[in-house]
Amino acid sequence: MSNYPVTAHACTQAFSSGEVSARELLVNALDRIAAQNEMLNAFVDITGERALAEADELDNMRRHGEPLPALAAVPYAVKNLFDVQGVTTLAGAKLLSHNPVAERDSVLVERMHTAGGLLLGTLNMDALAYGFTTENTHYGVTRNPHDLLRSAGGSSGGTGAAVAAGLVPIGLGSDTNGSIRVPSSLCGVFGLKPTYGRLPRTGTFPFVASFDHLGPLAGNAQDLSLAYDAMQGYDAGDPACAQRPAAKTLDTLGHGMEGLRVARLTGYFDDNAGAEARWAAMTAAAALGASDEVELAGTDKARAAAFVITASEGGALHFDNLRDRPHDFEPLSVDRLTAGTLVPASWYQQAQRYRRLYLERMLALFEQYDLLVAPATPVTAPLLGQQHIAIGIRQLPTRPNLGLLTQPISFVGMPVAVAPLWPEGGLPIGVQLIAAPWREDICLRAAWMLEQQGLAYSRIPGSPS
Amino acid sequence: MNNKIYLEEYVKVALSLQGIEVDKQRLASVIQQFALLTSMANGFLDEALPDELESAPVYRL
Repeated sequence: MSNYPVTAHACTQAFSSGEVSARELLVNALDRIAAQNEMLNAFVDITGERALAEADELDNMRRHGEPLPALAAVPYAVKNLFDVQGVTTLAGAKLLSHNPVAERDSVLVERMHTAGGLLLGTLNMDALAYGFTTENTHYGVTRNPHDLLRSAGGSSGGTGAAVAAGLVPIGLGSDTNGSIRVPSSLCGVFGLKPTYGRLPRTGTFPFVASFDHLGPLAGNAQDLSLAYDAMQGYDAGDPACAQRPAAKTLDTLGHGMEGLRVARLTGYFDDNAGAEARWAAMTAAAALGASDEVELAGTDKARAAAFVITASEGGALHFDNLRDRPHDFEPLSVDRLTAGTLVPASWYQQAQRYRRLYLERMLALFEQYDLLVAPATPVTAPLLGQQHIAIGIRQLPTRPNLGLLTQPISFVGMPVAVAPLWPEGGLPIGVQLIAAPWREDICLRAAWMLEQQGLAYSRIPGSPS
Repeated sequence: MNNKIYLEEYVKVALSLQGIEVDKQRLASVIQQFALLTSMANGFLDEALPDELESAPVYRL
């Protein structure tokens, strides 16, 4: 085979039909990584031997005529806060580098394995998931495949870059305040942050327990749906995991937008969006048949409350090490974490109680609409090391503000898909497709619809244009 | 005494209370970060919330 498939569904089809073996798909993916990772710095650890064993198992299954799982022979990789048996879970932090290797896989890696995925390795991230640029002092900067001088976003920047460069069709990330959605936007790939509590976090390194979500990034909506469906289901190891039955989405993608009430979020979401971000949200909203523009009161306060909760929980989580081993922390975030340990309990409680109020407002909005559209990032990918981003006439510090538009949504745990659009200038920017709790199917339908209309797509080398 | 001095004093005392030692250079940075958190908190601390609005021990939807 000369042209190997680069999407997950094409990999599975080619494997199932006997066109290609799992081993060939694996070797081809490893070749792509070998050719590009030095430049991108997306992968931190490569688990080639494990993937080879997984590939051989699948080739044997096919040879014996056994039924093949949904993601059979699909290469994938995970942010390095997921436990992978035999690998130290770094969470991007030198601080954790001397920890023993993980004894077993995280639950989502187990489920990807059961679904037939070939795990190729672990991916770079902002240290301890505290950042939006994947500029990691200890493990290096991850570069944006569309412009190597620019950020891949973060904190799941290695995942965004690996998918955007076509190294793997699917990557797993985490999203506390926007860490799936920001790299999806800046790298021009699709991403899904499910409802808070939907996917179990068992066996992953935490950041802010109140906000941590896990989810997939992929080159198209169908692959996103395939990965998401494979990972659903309750697990008692995560106390926040909801006891809900899996709600498969793949067969609903083609349902279109008929009957769905769509609105574009304005106010805060316009005020904090640059020209390309506003264009993307308006274009997507129009294409999805948005009938209204709506403002959600108190969004600025929601963002502020999320910021304070993040600092407080993050600081508390790492308190012992902040006191005893501050020099082992990422210099870019150690002082922010330390300041977080000083947040008075009354501030934290007010922020958590405000979260309830904002949730009530959000749920009231979903009485009127099924889907809300907003930009995912204020701007396209900033240059690496760029200290400020320009939003209109305002100059805002880059690191905390790339998540300005994602933070209020994860604050209340709504499911969001990101679909990448391409404004003039050649750099992508994503739109957030936000639905009511547990309606990931609607987010994915909207992403799929934008793709069908030719508005949202990934520019992945080797993929059909 | 102005708010800036209060804030600096708070950071120093709270760090000391928790047994966290930081050098002079880092102290300035921690104060700056805490000032940012303070300005963020001021954005929602004045929101009058009903007494019955509680934060769940485990946040569930």
